[in-house]
Amino acid sequence: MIREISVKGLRSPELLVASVLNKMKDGLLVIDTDGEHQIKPIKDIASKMNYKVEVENNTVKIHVGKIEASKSINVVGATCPGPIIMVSDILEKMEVGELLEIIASKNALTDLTEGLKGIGHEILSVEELEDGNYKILVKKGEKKEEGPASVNIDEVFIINTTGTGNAERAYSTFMMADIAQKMKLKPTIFLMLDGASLAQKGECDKVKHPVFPKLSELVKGVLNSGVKIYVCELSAEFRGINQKNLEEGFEIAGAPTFFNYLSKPNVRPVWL
Amino acid sequence: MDIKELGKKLEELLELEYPAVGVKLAKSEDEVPKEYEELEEPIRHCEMIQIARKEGKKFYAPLDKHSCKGGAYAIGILQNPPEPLATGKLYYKLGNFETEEGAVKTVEAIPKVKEKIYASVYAPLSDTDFDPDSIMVISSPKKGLRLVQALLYKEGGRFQADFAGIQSLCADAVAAVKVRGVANATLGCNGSRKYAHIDDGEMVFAFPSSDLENIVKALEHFKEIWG
Amino acid sequence: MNTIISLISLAVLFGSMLSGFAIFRLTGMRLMPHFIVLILAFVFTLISMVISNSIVFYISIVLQILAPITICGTICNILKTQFQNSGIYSAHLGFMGMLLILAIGNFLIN
Repeated sequence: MIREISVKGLRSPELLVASVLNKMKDGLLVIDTDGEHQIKPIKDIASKMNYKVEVENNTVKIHVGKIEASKSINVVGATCPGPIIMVSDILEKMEVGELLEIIASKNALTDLTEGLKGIGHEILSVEELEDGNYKILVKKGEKKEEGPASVNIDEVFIINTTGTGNAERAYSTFMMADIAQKMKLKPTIFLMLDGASLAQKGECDKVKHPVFPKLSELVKGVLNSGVKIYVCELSAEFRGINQKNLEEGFEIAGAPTFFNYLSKPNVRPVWL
Repeated sequence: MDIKELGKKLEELLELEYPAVGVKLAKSEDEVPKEYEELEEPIRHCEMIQIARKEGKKFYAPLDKHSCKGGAYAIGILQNPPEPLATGKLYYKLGNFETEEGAVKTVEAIPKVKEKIYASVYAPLSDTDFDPDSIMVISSPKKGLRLVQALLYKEGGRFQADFAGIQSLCADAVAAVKVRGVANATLGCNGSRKYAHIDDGEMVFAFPSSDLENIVKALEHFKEIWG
Repeated sequence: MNTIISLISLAVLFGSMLSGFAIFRLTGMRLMPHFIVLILAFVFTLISMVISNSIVFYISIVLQILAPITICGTICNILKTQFQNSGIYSAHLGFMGMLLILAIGNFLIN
């Protein structure tokens, strides 16, 4: 069972959350909050009650117990865009609000979570299994219909297609991410085509312009500040880059992640 | 003990003038008890509660029988409300808030049933034929006090009520209880005071049916010790 | 005959210095050892044509062979991971191929 509540505007949200949790025997409690001042007491009370808590933006998810999915699918082994197509086909036949359990490998994880969110479904939980695969629980949502309302641009999607062979563009990719953060624009980096070369272990270590720090140092800085760096799965595969020689902190993703970012109204793409 | 019996006991123990009301939000026609009739003329959700409470009627109301869009929207019956209602700007125009931002902020925080509801079903609790999503007791604050004490009797804690003076019997007393699964109290709103005639001395308590048995047990206990 | 081959090598070296410089800028001053070997090869080839000294001649031949070898590791990886850009490197690669054959030929004919 999934219970979704809002504690917006409440002075003591933890009191309400505790009452709700007391009555829940299993499932997931999803709480919409006003922000950090409400999230903290909620997290505290949930931890006190020994529940696992996840926070995403202003939403807190408390795992009370098992959640029964009405359907399940295993997409381990399929490569981009296979998993999202297989999952979308199943979701198409399901009712809004129904739950689907997906077992996927690491390669497809970001694509599925980002891609499905982009289509309007809700990712309820992601759990790493003992065999290294992941269990994703998705709630079928309704198709997103957004009106022509004006939206503030608060994210940039920096796409590098040239790689280490073009040092200036490579440097720009990570410098722009840094500057964007300082301007309160959330950056996300996507490496595709030749850009995927930046993801090869040790590759950015080899790029050093006399007047700039090593490229790898910039990359580390950007990663440490929480910026996501995605690498196109197919571009990586074309270039012999896989989980084994992938630079630490980089994540393999694919077309669904790419298009999800490009279709967000609050995101501007930067092509390099 | 079934709900009807518990409902009767609740009435007796709290010495209610009118019965408590059970409200169910039916997702489809199949969830509406067969013998229940559709309401004839469109009225407000809060007025429907009073019909069940004061006239003892059992009935249901789909979208076209809800004349208050705010109420129908809060309980999931109306899915695409007019823009001023959905954003909250309506309540700024009605004079409830100094700024439009205040109105928007309030409406954003109002409990709401997100899933699509086919109809709302009403019956006096002592004669109900369904498992209600919310049980509503409209009473004096003194009787409310006993009810809150009964709610806390088994597990303790604090009773927390939240309301904003708008969308009261719909959002605070039905949507909040259904969505959260816990009790709430509310003071009514302009509409429910004016059109549904909630008396000046009355306030509204609502709780899920899962609390009913514990409440009745606690009230019996209180009766024994406090008379 | 050797002088003519050396002259062609010198021309190829000069051409590859220019095409190499373009790549040098593009890749952010990478391949520094290769660029140094290229300059040294150019200097020694020029000197070997002016003064008749066999040590200088052999040094120039060694440098001419070393120059293409010093790019192998980097260029192989670049061609593996950045083939969309391979056109940029093709002129320089062509020069390096010619230089290697000219150097071996010059050595054998001598």
